[in-house]
Amino acid sequence: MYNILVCDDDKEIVEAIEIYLSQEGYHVLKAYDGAEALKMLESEDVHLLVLDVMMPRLDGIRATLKIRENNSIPIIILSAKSEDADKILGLNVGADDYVTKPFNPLELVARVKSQLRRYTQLGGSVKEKSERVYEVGGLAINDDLKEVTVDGEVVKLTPIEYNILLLLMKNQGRVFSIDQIYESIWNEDAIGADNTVAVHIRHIREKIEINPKEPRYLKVVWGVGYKIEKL
Amino acid sequence: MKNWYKKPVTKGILLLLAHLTVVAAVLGMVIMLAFTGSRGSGNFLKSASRPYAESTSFKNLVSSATWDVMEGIAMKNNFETDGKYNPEKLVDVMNLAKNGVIDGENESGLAYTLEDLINWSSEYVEEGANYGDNDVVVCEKPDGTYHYYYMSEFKSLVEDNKLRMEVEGMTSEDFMQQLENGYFTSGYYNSMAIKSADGDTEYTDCWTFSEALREKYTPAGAANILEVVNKSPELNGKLSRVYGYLQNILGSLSSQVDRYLYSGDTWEEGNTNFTYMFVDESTKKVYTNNSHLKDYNSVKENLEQMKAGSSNKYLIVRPKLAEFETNMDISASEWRSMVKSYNYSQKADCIFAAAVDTNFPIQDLFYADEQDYNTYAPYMRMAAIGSTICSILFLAILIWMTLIAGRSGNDETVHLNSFDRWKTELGGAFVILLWLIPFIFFTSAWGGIGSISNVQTYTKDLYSVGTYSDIAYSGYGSYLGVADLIIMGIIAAFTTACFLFGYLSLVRRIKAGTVWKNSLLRSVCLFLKEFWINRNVTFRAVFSLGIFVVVHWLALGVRGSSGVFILMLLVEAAAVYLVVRGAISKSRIKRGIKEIASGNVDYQIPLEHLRGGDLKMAEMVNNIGNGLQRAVEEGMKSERLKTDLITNVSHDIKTPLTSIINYVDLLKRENFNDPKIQGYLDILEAKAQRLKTLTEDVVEASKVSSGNIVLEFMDVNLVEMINQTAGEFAEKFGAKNLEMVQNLPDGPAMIHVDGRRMWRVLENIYNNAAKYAMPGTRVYADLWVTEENVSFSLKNISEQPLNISADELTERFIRGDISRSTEGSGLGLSIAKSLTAMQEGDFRLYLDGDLFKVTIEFPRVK
Repeated sequence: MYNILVCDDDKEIVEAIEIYLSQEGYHVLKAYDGAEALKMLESEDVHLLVLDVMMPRLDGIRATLKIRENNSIPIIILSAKSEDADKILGLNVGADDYVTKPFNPLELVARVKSQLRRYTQLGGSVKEKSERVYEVGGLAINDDLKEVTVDGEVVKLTPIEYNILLLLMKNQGRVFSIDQIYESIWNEDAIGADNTVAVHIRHIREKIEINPKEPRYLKVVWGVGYKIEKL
Repeated sequence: MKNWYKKPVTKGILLLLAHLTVVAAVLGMVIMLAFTGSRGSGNFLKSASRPYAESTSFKNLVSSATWDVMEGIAMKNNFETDGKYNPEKLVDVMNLAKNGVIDGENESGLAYTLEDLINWSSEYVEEGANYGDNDVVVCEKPDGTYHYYYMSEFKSLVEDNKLRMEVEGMTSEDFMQQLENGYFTSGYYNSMAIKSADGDTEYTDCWTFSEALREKYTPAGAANILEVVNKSPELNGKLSRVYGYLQNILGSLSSQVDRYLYSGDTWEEGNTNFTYMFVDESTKKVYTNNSHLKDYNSVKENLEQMKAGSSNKYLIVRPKLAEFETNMDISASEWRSMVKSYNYSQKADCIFAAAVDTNFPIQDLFYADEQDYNTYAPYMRMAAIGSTICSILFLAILIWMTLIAGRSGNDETVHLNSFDRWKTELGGAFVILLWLIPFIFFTSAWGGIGSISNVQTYTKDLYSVGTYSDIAYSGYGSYLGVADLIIMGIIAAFTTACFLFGYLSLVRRIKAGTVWKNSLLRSVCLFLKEFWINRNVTFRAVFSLGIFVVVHWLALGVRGSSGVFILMLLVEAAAVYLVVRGAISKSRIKRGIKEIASGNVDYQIPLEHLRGGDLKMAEMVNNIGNGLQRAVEEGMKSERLKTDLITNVSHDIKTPLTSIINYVDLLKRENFNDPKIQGYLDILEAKAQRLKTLTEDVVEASKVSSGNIVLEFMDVNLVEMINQTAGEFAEKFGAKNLEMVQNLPDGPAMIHVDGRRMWRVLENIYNNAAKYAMPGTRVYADLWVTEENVSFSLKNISEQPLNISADELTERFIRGDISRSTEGSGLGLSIAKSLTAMQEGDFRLYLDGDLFKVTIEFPRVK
């Protein structure tokens, strides 16, 4: 039973989130501005914070800065501000994730789950790592078991998808072009450009990413290729 | 054919016709002039189509024959004694002058022998006016009669004191001096007297008569004219008349005698078809060239005989007009006075009869004239009629061309060619020179129209000497050759061409109203007007230039004066300084304006060393720059404000939208059994999603169009990117059963863009295709590379008709069709276009029927 503090000046949003999170079995604490959230954090045992940015008295950014002074709980910022600059600012001041309004409730729930799992896993037992296990963030690929997990949950991939992901995971941060991927997976020359690889990549993204349109792990470098982001 | 009358083809034909008509008219005229000229008064035209015997030419010839005959008779009487030429015959000057008769008697006292008078006459004619250089002094006697002295004679009398001058207030010498210069007329001095040596008053007045003639020949029975005049009471006081008569006689006598001596036998019997009979009733003498008509007693029968004959033309002049008889179309009084003028005694009772055998059995002047007439008259008429018709035709063509000048068959505007745009005066001068220079060159090389006049003068010369000889009419007419006609035709055509060129241009100018508008004079007037309007500047400029020039003139005038020379140097130095400074200022201001014009609005022209008008101008330019800068800043600020406003509004919309989306989702989980409610919820969800897209797109569009985003440029392989994009859209396209046909080059296609923004461009284009393409059709993605560019195009068949222009499609908030599906904001293409432009690319839409084609083009990176 995790305690999740939801803080937004819009009561209806807080209540809606409460409904969704309660359905998943979380206990929801509610706050309506930054200052209130800070107080709650002191008085309650909170495992995760969903925080709006634009709030009266103390806004989300400053609240995050305050919290990070002595607390490392996962913070998901939930904001109407959708500019890149806003997201970068939020993540830089210490937030773990950034969700823009209007949000998909299921995506929010998934992100909450993901953050909680990572928080608890990181904070909890340290697993023995085989050499043939490659990890980035919550994404792990175990080449012995031929198993891919996202935040501990097993994801089913086709053999080609698995091989592409493995290639990218083994070389984190390195960008592979479509031709390179094709040549190393199919073991034949890439004659003529093709979008087969691109379609597979998309399928992989849909399976491992919470929001495939804004991938966290498998990123597209437009006009160059694909890569797994080093986190 | 519509407007056929002003088509270019018509104009060409008219132009050709105009030239042809002018050439024909001119040549006709020249032919007429040449022939009528060569025939003297033989006017072919007046007689029209009548036979020769009724022609003017014939009448003129009869007339001239009559003149000759009459003169011949008169001269015969005058110059002959007993039927023989008598040079010793005494000529009474007064009688000859008054009555035209030389009868060998000296009645007036002033008479010369015929030979003397003839010699004098030919000298007089040769020397002309110079002959009258003999001065005569006229002295008035107390009784009112006159005495004449030659000037030299009078002078010697005065010097010998045989005559003494007594003039009030004047010495004798002065008076003589003035008398010699011809100062005096009768009655010039009231109180003067010329006295003899004895003291008697000889004369009361005297003056100079300057019209006396040099006397080389002495009159019969006297030493000189004055002796005759002083002696004869009849002639006393009539000196000027005496000299006048004498001059008349001297002027005409020698040529008359020449004519008499050398006239030959043109009108003798057997040489001519012209028969005459002159009957002098007073002397009962008959003059004729027909031996049968000589008898005075049978004059009546002879006259009848002359009248008879079917082919005879005759005329009989009698003293009374009423008795005039003829079968020719001639005037009785004219002929009567003509006959009488040679019959000096006006009252003389005489009969003149003439007849011409119009069968012309003898090949005389009449015969030749008839031959000519019959040969040339038809041509003359043709030439005259043709010339007239051509002239009229030319006028008609000219009017036609005037009406259509500047018009074309296609529209109603006036068309000017490049010559019509010349300044009016320049155009006029050009046309005149264009005509004049070749014309002068041509005519001088050819001998000119002079060759026609040569024909005329030649004939005239011949005429004066040769009317009485047969050689007169040999070889006329050959002076106007075919070559001359061709040359004159060319000149006429050339003149016409020049005339039409100038005239039609003038007409077009008038029609277009540019005669004055485009004239040099107007330009000058406008310049003067400008000069006056800007007089504060222009006067100053002219004034300073004036000083400069005046100083130089002064320096030129007083060469050698070092003061002025130094002043001139100073003025020159000042002028050089001013010109250089002006040039520097101008260049500086020019650079400033150039900088501002090229967008560097905060550029300021440095003001140091600038003075006067230049300083003002520079300051004004700087002000313009400042104003522009302010305007640019304000424009950017307002654009930023707009973007900020849109962003903030979108934030405020998103918060309630979040609740709507969340609660709609919650409602959907409530499992309503009523499918209607589920349907309503679906609509709510879809609209909420659409609102979400819309707010996001509006913000993006606003940012992109205001340039309020930062781009991260990098080299991107567009081939890779198209493949990636195609992969992203594979399912979307599959869902609508769209087949993607890619046509990509083998090698990489590198462009320098921001990868993420480029993805937005491609995403929007592909999204557009996915949304609006007709399901089940193919979508073509073509990429091709040229030396300079990389181009990509996406083609699809639209599901809905594209009743909109390409421009409108990329305008904000406008979509291909109002009735299209309601998803999307309609901003996709607009954003794509703006983003492409920001990355230095070219974005084009092409709509043809249902074909929808997007083309983007970027410079290629090598």
